[in-house]
Amino acid sequence: MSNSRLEDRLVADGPGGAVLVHPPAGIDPELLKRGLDHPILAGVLRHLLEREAQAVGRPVAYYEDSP
Amino acid sequence: MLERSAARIGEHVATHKLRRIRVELHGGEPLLGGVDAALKQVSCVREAVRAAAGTPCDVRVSVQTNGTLLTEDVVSVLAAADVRVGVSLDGGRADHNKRRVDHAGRPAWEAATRGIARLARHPEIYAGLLCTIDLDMDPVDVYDSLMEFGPQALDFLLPHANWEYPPPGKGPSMAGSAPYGEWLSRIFDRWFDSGRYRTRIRLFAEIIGLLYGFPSRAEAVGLSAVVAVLVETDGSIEQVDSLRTAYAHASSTGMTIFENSFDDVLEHPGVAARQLGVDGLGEDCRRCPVVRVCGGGNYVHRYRKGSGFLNRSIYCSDLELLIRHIAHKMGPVLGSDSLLPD
Repeated sequence: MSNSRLEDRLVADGPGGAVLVHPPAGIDPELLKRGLDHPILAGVLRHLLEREAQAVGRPVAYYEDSP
Repeated sequence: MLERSAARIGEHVATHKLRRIRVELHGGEPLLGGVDAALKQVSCVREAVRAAAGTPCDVRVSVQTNGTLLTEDVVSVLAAADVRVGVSLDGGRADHNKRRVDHAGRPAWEAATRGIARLARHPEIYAGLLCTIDLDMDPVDVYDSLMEFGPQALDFLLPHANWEYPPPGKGPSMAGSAPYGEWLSRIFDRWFDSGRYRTRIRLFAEIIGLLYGFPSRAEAVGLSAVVAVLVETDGSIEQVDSLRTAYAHASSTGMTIFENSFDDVLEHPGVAARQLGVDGLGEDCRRCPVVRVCGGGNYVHRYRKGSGFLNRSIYCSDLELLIRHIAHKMGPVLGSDSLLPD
């Protein structure tokens, strides 16, 4: 697990590959960096950062009984 | 009926210039009518969206199945059509799934495991496993056994229940107890302390995200607007079917695809209530320091006769215990003790 930083971007190369993103507004970048040093939090954060990078419009929630 | 449903979806995409939608085939068992019938629905929707939308729209399709009908051919056909597949299990071993039987009453376990094994050979469409919590089972055993199927995602669902019909192991007089929160916390520890990220557990990932300040994308926690409607096989448009566990016809909207657009459904009070965030919650919840994370829990679990859904969740104490447990585990890692107010 590496935790490189490029300017205001975070790079987390977790088990599923790398993600290169800007920290979303409202998220403490320092807490993000610390989370990326933990294997489970890094995996979760990678998923959340990818999801937010692809998000369009306001946040919505999906039906629970679905994949 | 199918063409009309697809046309309504296309209409909605065009009206709102949507760039991505999710279509989920549900049951009963959605593959019971054959994979060809399921794929006909899929192609019909994709074609209607293509025809109606002025801009490209990504139609993401998934099916939630019991896994018993996932033959080699079915999995291959679903993969070719880019249909993601989730499987519902009660645990990862035969004795966890004793209640799952086929139409003749025979155990469904063997067929389900064969189906999941075939699905696992197509990771591009293997969406993961859903498991409803049973307090009689050991949580770590359930988690470990499910992990043997190599899911990239897992979720543990609270049994649908409310203040009128409490869940097993938790009557109204035990509202302050938190057996489901304790059960889930044991799995959280197993997962969080494992040292290696092997799967995403949706409920835990959403809570972690909410503690960080991300919005949620699941109806179980958080305050994001819920954006699901259900089209029945007779053309009626309903709210999510889990609402039926509150009272008869609770999911009904009185609308159909023949007479109503999906925009009409957005005006329905039950649908609107789930778009209001904290303003759609009862007084107890609005005052609670945990509300930005739990979001009042699943809407379905708040029902009480007389006050409807303006109540705490029957799982309120369970959710608070779990959320505080997760915050407590994250705190030392992040060097922060302010993830959640006391």
